[in-house]
Amino acid sequence: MLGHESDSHDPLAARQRSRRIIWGLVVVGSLAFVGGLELGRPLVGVGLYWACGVGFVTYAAVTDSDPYDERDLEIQAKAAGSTLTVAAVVLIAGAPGAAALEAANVYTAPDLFWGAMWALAGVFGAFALGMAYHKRLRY
Amino acid sequence: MFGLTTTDDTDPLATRRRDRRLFGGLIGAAMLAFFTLDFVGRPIVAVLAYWACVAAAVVVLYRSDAMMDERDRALERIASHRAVLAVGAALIVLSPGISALSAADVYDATPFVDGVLFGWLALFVVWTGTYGVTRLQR
Repeated sequence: MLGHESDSHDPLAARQRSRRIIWGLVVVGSLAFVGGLELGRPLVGVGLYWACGVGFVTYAAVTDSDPYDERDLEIQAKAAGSTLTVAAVVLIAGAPGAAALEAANVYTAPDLFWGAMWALAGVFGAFALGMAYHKRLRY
Repeated sequence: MFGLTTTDDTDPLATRRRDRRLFGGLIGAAMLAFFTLDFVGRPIVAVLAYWACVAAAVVVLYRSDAMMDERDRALERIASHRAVLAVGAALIVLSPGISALSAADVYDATPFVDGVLFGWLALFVVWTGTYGVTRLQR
């Protein structure tokens, strides 16, 4: 009782609890998915996995205690910036390079490669949308 | 002579405008060179010209201290974070769904679709690595 009271007023404990709930849902969802595959019920497994995903998103939306603080979010955002720099280098070097080699009949890249290049192009589409949205929203 | 050049040289906004135009121009030139030379049947030359223009644009980007201010950098970080989160969400929803459909013999993903998922997964792996490094640095 006392412990519970102190928990609900302590922001650090609340943060830890919300992290546990979120990661718990991830673990349960993943186990359900793998279990479904192993038991020959893949669609049931993925249904349970998605249900845990919906629970995850719902909990994150309604909880008062954010699982990550400002510092964490800043580190995540900084890491995302570095990641997109790496992705830009791969896309700029890879896509026209492979296209040129194909056109010159030197090497034909597999479909898997082109799928990955389009995936990175999609990431930059999402990035451009994010830029437009936050520019309008913030400044 | 009339003070015009001097103003341009010291005015950070003018430098910023010039550098941005230079950067945009080089990216535009890269695209134009690639598509034109590819169209005339010189694919290898096309890609070399493209890379040269992009390399020049990167040099402009890193040498210019006026092109991006704090606000631009912050905006870029937020947008990158959102993009990585969107990729994570897409991967979390789609990847097990596609494997389940394949295990249930309903739908077999083409190599292209596998490539898309692979590209997003690779991006997420890189993000995990950079997150760890950034965290250790602070």
